[in-house]
Amino acid sequence: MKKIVDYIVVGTGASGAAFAWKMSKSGARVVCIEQGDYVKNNQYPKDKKNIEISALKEWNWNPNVRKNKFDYPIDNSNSPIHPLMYNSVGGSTLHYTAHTPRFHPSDFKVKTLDNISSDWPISYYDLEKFYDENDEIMKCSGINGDPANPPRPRRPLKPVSLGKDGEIIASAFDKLNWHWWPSDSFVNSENFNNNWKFYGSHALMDRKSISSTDQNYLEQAIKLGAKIITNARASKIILENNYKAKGIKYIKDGKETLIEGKNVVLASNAIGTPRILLMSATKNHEKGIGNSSGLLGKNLMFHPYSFIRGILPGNNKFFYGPNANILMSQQFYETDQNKDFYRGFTLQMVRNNGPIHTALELDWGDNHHKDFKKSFGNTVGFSIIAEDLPEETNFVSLDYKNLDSDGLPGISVNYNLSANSRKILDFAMRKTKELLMEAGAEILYETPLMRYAGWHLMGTARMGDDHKNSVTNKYGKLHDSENIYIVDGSLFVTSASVNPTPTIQALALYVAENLIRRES
Amino acid sequence: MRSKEFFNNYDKRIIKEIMNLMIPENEEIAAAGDKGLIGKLEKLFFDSELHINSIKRVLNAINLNTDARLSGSFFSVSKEKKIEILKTLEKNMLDDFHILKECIFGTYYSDNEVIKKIGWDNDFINKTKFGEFTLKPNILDKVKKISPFWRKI
Ligand SMILES: Cc1cc2nc3c(=O)[nH]c(=O)nc-3n(C[C@H](O)[C@H](O)[C@H](O)COP(=O)(O)OP(=O)(O)OC[C@H]3O[C@@H](n4cnc5c(N)ncnc54)[C@H](O)[C@@H]3O)c2cc1C
Repeated sequence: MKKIVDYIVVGTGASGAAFAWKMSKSGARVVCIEQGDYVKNNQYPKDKKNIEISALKEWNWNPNVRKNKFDYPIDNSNSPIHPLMYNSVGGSTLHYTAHTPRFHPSDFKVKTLDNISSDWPISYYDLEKFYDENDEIMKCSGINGDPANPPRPRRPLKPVSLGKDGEIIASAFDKLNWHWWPSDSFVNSENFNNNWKFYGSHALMDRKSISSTDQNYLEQAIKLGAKIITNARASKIILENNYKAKGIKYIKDGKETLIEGKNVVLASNAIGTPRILLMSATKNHEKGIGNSSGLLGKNLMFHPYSFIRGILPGNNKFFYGPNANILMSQQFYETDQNKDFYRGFTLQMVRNNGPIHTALELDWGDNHHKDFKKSFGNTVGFSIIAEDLPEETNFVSLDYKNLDSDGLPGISVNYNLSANSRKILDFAMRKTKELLMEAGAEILYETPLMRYAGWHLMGTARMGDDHKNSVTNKYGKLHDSENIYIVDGSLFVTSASVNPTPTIQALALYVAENLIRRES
Repeated sequence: MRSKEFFNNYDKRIIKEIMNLMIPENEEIAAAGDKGLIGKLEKLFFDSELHINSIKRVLNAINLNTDARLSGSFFSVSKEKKIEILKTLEKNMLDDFHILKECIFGTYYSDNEVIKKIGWDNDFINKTKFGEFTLKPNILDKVKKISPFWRKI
C-alpha cells in the first residue's frame, strides 16, 4: 500500500528546512517541494574571477534581475522597496548576510505596551527554547551578556572579530554612552584562516563562511528520511473538502503532478506563501484558501532601511571580515514617550565593499575619482533598520500580466512607507551622524530610504486568536483549514526592528513541536 | 542574445559618451568610454536580456529628450546639458538607470589597468594572516557596565 506523506513542505529556506528537520526527527514522513535546485560549491561567486560582476548578475539579490527559471516575477512599480530573495535549496539563506539578532520580549506585545497595532498570540518565552535550539544548529557566533536583550546561553561559536574599524566605532558608542554589542551571526567565526575568504559584499563570501540551511538542517533531515523534490514549483493546493487539503500540485519539467499528504506546510516566504494560497482559489474560496478574513497577502512589512556612510581618517584597508556581521546598537529600540513616533530601530554596522560596489555607491561624474580615492577601504557604514508597523494597505496580489516560467502568475507589491516609519528613519539618521562624527568620520553620503532592500519579508498571513483579523491560529494553522500550516515570516504580527531569520526559524520549530505533541 | 542585434553604432557612440561622462579621465587613466571598454561591457553584460532592455530604454529616453532633439542630437548639446539630461533620467528611470550604472561601473572597475591603479587584488585577503583579528575582550568593559535595559513583559 502506498505510504501517504505526513507533511508536504513547500520551500526549503530558513523555515522549511528547520520544520522538515524537526518533523523528520520525530519520525514523520516529510517531502519538500522546492522550485529551485541544489547550488553546488563551485557555483558560488567566490570561485569565479569576476566575483563582483556575479553579484550584479546571476547572484543578484533581486529575482527580477537574475530572472532564473526558478524565480518568479515581482512587479514593484507600486513599491519604493523591492523584495529580494533567493529561490533554491536553502532558500534565501544561500544569499543572506546572516546577521541574526532576536526579537525582544516587548516586540510580541506592542499593543499592551504601546497601544499600537496588535499583540502576537504568543510571547518571546514561547519561542525562547526554539531560538536556542536554532542557534545550535545554525551555529551562531556571538557573545552573551548583551544588556539590551534577555540573557541567553553561551553562543555555539566565538564572536566575530570587530576589526579595527569596528573598534573605532565601538569606542565612539562608548563615548556617547550608547549601547552596542558584537553581533550574533550565523557565520563561521572559527577556523578563520581556512574558512573565511571574503571582504565587502557578502555575495563574495566563501561558501563555508555562512550557515545556510542546505548545509545543516536539510542535510540532517535527508539523513532522517526526508525527501526533497527539486525544480518543482507548487502551483495549487488541492482540497478534499472545504476545510481539508488533499495535497498539492506542483509543476516539474512542464508536467503537473499531485502529491497527496496528511498536512500541507507552506514555507515559501511572506511573498511566496500568499502567492500559493491566492493561486489555490476555488469556487468556495474565491479569494484564495485561508482568506476568509480578507487579510491574506495584506499587512506586508519590510524593514525600511536608511543608510549612511562616513569616511574614517587615514589610509586604511578596512576590508577584513564579514560585511555586516560586526556590531549593532539597540540604544533606540523601544518607544520613547518624548519622541513623535512609536517603536524604534537597530543600527547595524557595515564594512567596505570591493571596488565595483564601492563605486556604485558614489556619485558619477567629475568628482567620482576624488570620492573613490577618499572612500575606498576607508569607510564605515550604518544600516538603520526601522520597525515597520503592519498596514492593510500594504499588500501583495497576483499579477497575471507577468508569468513565471511555468505560466503561473507573478506577484505585484503595493507598499507605501508610513509616516511613523519615516519619522523613525529621520531621527535615526540624525543619531547615526552624531555617532559617526564622534568616531571622527566625515559623512560621505546618506540614503534616506534604500530601494533594493526588501530582504525581510513579513506579515502577509499573520497569526492571531481571532479568525476575523488573522489568517492562522497561534500554531500556524490556517483558521480556514484543518491541515494547512504556515511556518515562515508571513506569520509575523509585527516586525520588530531586527533581522527576522532567527525568529522565523524559531517559529517553524515551535509549530513543528506543537504538531509533534499533538500527534503523540 | 548578441548586442549587435540590439545596438547600432549610433547607440554605441551614446553609450561610450555616457561612460565618459560617468567616469571621466583622471591623471593616469583615460575616461571609461575612451578607454575602449565598450567591448568589455558587451561581453560582461549583453548576454542578459534584462541589461540590454534597460540600456535600450535609457537610450530611447535620451533620443526623445527635447533639448537633445532641438539641438540635433545628444552629441550636439553641451557637457553640462548632457549631465543634466542624464541626472534627470537617473531620477525618473531609477531602475533602468541603475542597471546602466552597474554595467558601466562593473566594466570599469574590473578592468586590469584600473584594478592595478587602485591597488586592488581580488585575492589579497587570502594572502593575509588573520591571527590578529579576534575580539579583544576588554573592548566590552564599558558597555558591560550598562544595566540590562530590555523592556520586561
Ligand atoms: C540579500 C539578503 C540578505 C539578507 N540578510 C539577512 C540577515 O542578515 N539576517 C536575517 O535575519 N535575514 C536576512 N535576510 C532574510 C532571510 O534570508 C529570510 O528572512 C529567510 O531566508 C526567510 O526564510 P523563509 O523560509 O521564510 O524563506 P526563504 O528562505 O526565502 O525560502 C523560501 C523557499 O521557498 C521556495 N518557494 C517559494 N515558492 C515556491 C513554490 N511555489 N514552489 C516551490 N518552492 C517555492 C523558494 O524557492 C525558497 O527556496 C536576507 C535576505 C536576502 C535576500
